[in-house]
Order: sequence, then structure tokens, then C-alpha cells
Amino acid sequence: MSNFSFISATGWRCGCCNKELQPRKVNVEYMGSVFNVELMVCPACGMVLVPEDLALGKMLEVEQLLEDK
Amino acid sequence: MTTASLRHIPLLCEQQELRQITGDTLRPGGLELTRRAMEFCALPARSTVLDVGCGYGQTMALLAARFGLAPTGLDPAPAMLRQAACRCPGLPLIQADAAAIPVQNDFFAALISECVLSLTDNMPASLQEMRRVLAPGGKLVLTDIYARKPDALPQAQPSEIRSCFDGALPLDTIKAHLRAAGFAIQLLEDHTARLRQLAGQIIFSCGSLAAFWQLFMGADKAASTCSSLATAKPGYYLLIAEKE
Repeated sequence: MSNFSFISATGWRCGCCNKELQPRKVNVEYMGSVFNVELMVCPACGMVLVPEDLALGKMLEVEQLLEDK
Repeated sequence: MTTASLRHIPLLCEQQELRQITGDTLRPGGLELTRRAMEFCALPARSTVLDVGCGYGQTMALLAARFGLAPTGLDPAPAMLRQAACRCPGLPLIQADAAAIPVQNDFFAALISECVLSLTDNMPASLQEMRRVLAPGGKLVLTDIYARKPDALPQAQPSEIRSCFDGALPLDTIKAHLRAAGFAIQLLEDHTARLRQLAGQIIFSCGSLAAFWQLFMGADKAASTCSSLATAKPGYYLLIAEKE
């Protein structure tokens, strides 16, 4: 398996809970499909951080794939 | 490249990297399409079913536990059969190729082959053999890759890894092979969205499709494979036919 991961020591804390985000596998529903992705998550409330490189990079690649007719 | 030399090239479905992404089904759609197909077939309990390319035995376990059927597994890979034996204790397993099934004529009530037919060396011969072991009126369940633009598929013989993409044919050709083998098609559904779902999961898991292919081949070959597949627009189908 590739070592690719969206997990990184960001220093981000949850704005609501003031907890340090932790890596966790989450299900991302996107354009009618569900993907299992490892992301940084608030351990208290479950808020998920979607980093910029995921939103503008991989999600774009997946979007182009799913839109392909 | 001869059939004999192709056998020495590793199969994508035997790679742990794929297994980590798909789970033990090793195919788009997982067990959902299997359930859909078996509900359509509505076989009586204890009906005999041959799973050609049974892999790790996920489908066999489902057929026995959920549908009360009597599955037999067939796969050429000993390592997969060993794990299928652990998952499905007591169920019969055969180490053999789809084109030479060591079973008497007219034996099985149904035959299921998921994401395997396009991997066989000779699709018409494999279909003839599948028909031979099916009882009259027996059901054939297929899920597999097909080529929407076959001319763009990588035509160079695979040297690093073999996958279902290598033998993917247009749907019209597959239907013609089925009719020539003596099957009447009862259901044909497009499930290309499930193939895209798997490709999307690969992107999230590996970073990109190219990074996934680079697990098995060099960067240049991986890039050309991605480019060819993007142009060929492979699709995925579920087909159910009956032995005439």
C-alpha cells in the first residue's frame, strides 16, 4: 500500500471543543459515492478537517473521474 | 506473447495492495452485486452453484449463509484456495482453470464468475466450458469489466501485471460470445458507477491512480496505463444468462 495520507501534524484544534485533532478513518460521501479516507478529526465532537490539498487536489481528481461519461 | 508465458505474470487480484482497498472481494461493487444477482436468480435452497474464480471465498460464504445454496469454489491460485478453505470449512474447492473445469456435464444449477471472465485466456472457450458444466436451464451470473472504447485499451502485452482490463471486450462482443456458446441473456445492467467508486477510493488511498499503478510498474508505464484507461473508458456490467 502507498504511504499516502492526509494526516499531518497540523496544530489545528477544534473550535467548539478546543481538543487537538487526531487521525481517524472516516467515510466521505462525495458526488453520490462513499470513500474511506484517513483525516484529522476532533475526538470529542467528530468534526473533520478537510485540508486544502484534499479539497483542491484529490477531490478534484475524483470529481473528474466520477463526472466522466 | 503465448498463454504459457502470460501465466508467469502476477495478477493484480493477487496483490495485497488491491486487497487492502477492496477487502476480500477484490472487485468493484463488493458483495452488493452478488446479492442482487442471486435475488434475481431466486434459486431453490441447496441448489449447486460453481463460483469460477472464487478467490478468498467471500461469495461462497454469502451463497451458503444468506441464500442456503451449496457452493463449490474453483480457482487456479492455491494461496487463495487455502484462505477460501478457512472461510468456508466443509465446502468443496477445486484448483483449476475456467477453461478446463474438472466436473461432469450438466452438473450445476448455477455458475457465478465475478470480475474473472476477462482474465481468462480465451473467453469463448471459457464460456463453452461454463455451459458444459451447467444443467439445462442453469443460470450463468457474470460481473466484469467491459471496454466502452476498446481501441484505446492498452494493447501491448502486459509484462508487469495482469488485470481484467487486459482482456476487456465491448459489450456487444461479449453478448455475441454468450449467444454463440448457447446462452440466452436474461438480465444486463450497467454498473460502471461501481468501477468509478473503486477508482475514487484508490485515489483517496494511494494519492492518485498513477501512484497505485506505480506500486506494480515503473513511473512511465504507470502513466501510460492511466492515460490508456482514461481514454478507453472501461465499464462494469452485471449479466445473467440461461443455458439454452
